[in-house]
Amino acid sequence: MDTDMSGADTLGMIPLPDSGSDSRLRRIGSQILLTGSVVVAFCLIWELLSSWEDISGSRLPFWPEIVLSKPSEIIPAFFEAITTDFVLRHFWVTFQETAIGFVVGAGGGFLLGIYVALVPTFRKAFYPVIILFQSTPRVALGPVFIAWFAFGIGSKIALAATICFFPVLINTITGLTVIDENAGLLMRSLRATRWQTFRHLRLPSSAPTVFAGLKTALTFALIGAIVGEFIQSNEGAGHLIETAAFQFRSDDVFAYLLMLSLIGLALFLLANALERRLLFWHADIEEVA
Amino acid sequence: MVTEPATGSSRSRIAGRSPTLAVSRITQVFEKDGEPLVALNDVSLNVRPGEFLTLVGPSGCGKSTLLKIIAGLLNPTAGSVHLGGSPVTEPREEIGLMFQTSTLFAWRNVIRNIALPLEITGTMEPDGEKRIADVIELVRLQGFETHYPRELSGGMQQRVALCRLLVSEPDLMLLDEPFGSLDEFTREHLNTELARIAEHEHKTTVFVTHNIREAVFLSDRVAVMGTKPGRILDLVEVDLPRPRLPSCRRLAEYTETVNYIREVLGLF
Repeated sequence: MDTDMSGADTLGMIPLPDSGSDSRLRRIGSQILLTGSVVVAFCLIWELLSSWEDISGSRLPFWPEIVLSKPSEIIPAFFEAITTDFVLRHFWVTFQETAIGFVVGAGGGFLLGIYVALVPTFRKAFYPVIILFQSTPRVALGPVFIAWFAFGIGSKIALAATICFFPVLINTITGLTVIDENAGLLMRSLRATRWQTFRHLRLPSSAPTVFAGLKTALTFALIGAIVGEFIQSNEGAGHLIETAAFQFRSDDVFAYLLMLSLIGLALFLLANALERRLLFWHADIEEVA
Repeated sequence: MVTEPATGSSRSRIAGRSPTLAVSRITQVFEKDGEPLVALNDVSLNVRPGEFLTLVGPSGCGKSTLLKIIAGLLNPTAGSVHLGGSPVTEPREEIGLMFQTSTLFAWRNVIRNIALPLEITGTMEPDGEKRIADVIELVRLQGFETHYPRELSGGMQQRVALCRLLVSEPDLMLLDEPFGSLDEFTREHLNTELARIAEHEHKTTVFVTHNIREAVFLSDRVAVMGTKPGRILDLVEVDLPRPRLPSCRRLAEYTETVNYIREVLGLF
């Protein structure tokens, strides 16, 4: 904790970094402008290089269109995709796998984390095992899950859950175990019970660390679902992408990728908004526009 | 504390209730790299009811260790601590602690931080809210009730920590370098405030610091401690008038006592 805040004692207060909503709006505005121009510039260059053959008449295009489409075709393909029931149904499947996988994996990681953190013998026994599993590339388990849970949605949920289980587990253990020494002494001096120390000190002080784990897990869950679909499936966004790629429908591939990115971004922003709300008291809240 | 009548908040200047603290023949040996390290060697000390006593000494003299033992947070290798005649072997409700770091809970606002001891001990009812309001007024924190720790300066955070200590009306207050991480101006300001509050509350207090001027300004007596092994070198009576005001620092007795302690510590 930063205690060196000299002189301000009689004034007492240090203004919060984003107290004015006005300046916040302006900051977000300029952020969008900046990022927007980068994206537009990138797309223009892409478009130009893709259309090189048409522009210059040269026989040497930078790349054939069936390999990599260009923005002027991807964007219409994107708008067509997001209005096509058939595409949306597949994405809905992926979304379900991600959501259920996240709830199961992150929830399980959190609960087991509490248990491991609070029972010292358990921690000693299991921590090395957890680290071993943590360092196993878990997507490699995909084929195993296909064998266990068959081709359907179950194996993708299992993969998503397994991947996002560990960051939450590890962060929960860390968050609950690493507490301020003096705060611990304070609770002891107040003769707080184990439950009181957990409820009033350990759990709330672990929240920022747990939340960081949850944010990682959210991204991981989406990866798990897609990879699961790549391995073996007949539905879902991964299946759509795979099929389109085999059929050299490069514009569709990139339209689907764009959709996935937007879903990922939406989840990330949602998590950030939630974090701001729940952890407003935390000093190092990430500043993301 | 438990048997205290409900009118507890107005205390008289006479320390009728404050207990005597008796530290007898405390020795504390730690193990460091396989070698025994004597942190405290045969330390004895009597703190009178209502007295403000400071342990002053360089790092490694065992003053914080002694405070932890008095608090019942650490069992000594040998010796005993008695508070009001009964031995202290574990944390007790009538002993209050304050640390160098404010250890405020970042997720609780000022009021709820101060309420923590009452919530833990289940003594919020019947007059918890009034007691909180009283200590906030005593420590002059009005207007900051709903602020969160991150919005407060270091000095203000320590004021809140002091409130949290006072609210459970401990009979013995233990303060471990509470102003150690503050700048000199804030520290002097809070020293004046603490002197005022200590005179108002008149509780038995043990204060740990490595700042000699702070020790003299605040205390009735100063226990000067030395290192290797940690022990008490001298007990110095401070003959300064109360109330202690900043002008006390101008008195000849103040300078003399500070210089005397420096001499005991071999700083000249």
